[in-house]
Amino acid sequence: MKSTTFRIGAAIAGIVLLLILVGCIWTPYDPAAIDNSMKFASPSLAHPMGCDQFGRDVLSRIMIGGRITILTAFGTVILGAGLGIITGAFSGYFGGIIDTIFMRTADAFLAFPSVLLALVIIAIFGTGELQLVLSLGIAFAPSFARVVRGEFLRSKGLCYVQSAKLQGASHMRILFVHILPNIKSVLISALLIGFNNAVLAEAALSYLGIGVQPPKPSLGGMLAESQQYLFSEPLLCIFPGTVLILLVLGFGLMGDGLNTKAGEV
Amino acid sequence: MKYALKKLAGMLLALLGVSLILFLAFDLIPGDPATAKLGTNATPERLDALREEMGLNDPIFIRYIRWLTDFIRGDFGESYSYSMPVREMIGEKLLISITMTIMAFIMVLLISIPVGLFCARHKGGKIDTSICAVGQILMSIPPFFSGILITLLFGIVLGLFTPGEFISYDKSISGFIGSLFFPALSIAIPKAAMAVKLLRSSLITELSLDYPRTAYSRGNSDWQVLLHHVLKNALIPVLTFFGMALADILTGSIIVEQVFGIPGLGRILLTSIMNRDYPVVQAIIMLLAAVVIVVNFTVDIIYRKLDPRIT
Repeated sequence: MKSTTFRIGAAIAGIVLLLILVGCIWTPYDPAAIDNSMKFASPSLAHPMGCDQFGRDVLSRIMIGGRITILTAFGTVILGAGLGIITGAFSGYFGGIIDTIFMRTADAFLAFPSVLLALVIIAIFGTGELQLVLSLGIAFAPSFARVVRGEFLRSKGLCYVQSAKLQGASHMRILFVHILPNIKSVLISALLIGFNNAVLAEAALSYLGIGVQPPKPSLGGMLAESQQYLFSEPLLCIFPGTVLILLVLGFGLMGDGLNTKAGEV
Repeated sequence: MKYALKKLAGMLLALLGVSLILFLAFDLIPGDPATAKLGTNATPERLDALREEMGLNDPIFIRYIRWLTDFIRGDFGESYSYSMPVREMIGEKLLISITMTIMAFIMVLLISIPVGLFCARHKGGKIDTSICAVGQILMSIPPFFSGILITLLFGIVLGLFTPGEFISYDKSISGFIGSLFFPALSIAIPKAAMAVKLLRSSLITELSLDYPRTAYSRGNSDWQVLLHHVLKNALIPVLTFFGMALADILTGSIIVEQVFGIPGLGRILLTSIMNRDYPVVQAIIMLLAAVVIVVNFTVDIIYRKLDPRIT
């Protein structure tokens, strides 16, 4: 039984994801095709979201730009959650010196707001998608580690873990075969929140011009470009912005719905 | 007292950890500060002399200690690109960013507390439901896009301010505050929406406890119960959020500055990242992280004051 909030969220996120998925195999126009006769064309049947300052079709660019946003967000969450789960699991389960070292390091990293940490890493490794994933992944790992550690700490005293131990299961088996599936509800909502933060951070960094580099389209980059024409062509920034909001809203509502289901308000 | 000391030790440790990470991160970068300063045409002898002068040949630990003590004394090093002390470059800019952060934070408080109280008072009503729905959407707006929308609405459609105009504080204090008002608002709105949601649910949880019922039975009105009995308790869990929000607003201000064309820390930070002007990046990030850490420490202390049960 899924809550209504979750359903609405899934529907909104679904629409955006569908748009982006379709964009993987087909876009109405080539997103990089420049057509001088269509500069700043208003939305029409041929170009549902109009054209930008080079006459490129905005819808096609959103479909491709959204894909880059989603892929970097996925990459970030996979890297961040991967690092976080491993360190969090070891910290929570074994405790002692491992716990102290991992968690003190996590604390120091958590003291950086994640965008700042990402900026440091970009300053060192340069701009680009891989650097973006790397920097945001590292920036997000400590908060995942925190959540996972708490769950492992709570789980390790529970009966099923004790009985698995009595059966002679190895530590690795207990960690990743027994405990990990049992904390999935907490993990999934942490993943959804992380995904949202990653989308927002990617958009912000690309907006600042240090994330995905033009001419590759990205939602943040499109917003930065269209801002110059805000006065004459306000619609140009409304479309990519709306897609960004819908994406974040959809995943946010899904996360809320799961939490309510788990009994937390 | 013991609690405060423990937290103080934690804060100092965090500051040390952050400074160590920052120092090591920038030390690992391939490249040589001496070459960066003199350019690639410099003779090896001059490079060697400068390296010796800058102390680059010393062991890493010594260099860290030196960097840290200089930093604490307020000497943030020298910019590679502009050959001037970093401190002079960022002093004024820091003031702009901090003023904007404080303004945005006050806005978050001024919006979220009354609206949160109203929603909890009229829980489930039409207005509450619509505020919650609108809030959910506002929460999903990235601060730079809310900045663009505000420029569009207040700047271009309503003509309340000139987009891209910035008045320095030494010209006119009120003009300075005025030109930071809309940027601050665009950071504040998404955060305020989130704060309303948290405060509302915290107030509703508190209202379902026994003590509000006792307060009602003594003849208090709805608002009296909310303001004098429930609000203080309900604010405790929200306080952590306010602490984190302040950090987010500070980093958000760097981004929003770009939207409104404000010459604050954000612009310097970005150009320095592009120019690989590491001393500037290092100093700005260290300062911002230090502000965040000190704020979190303060929140912990206030938290304890409000709720002595916390250990």
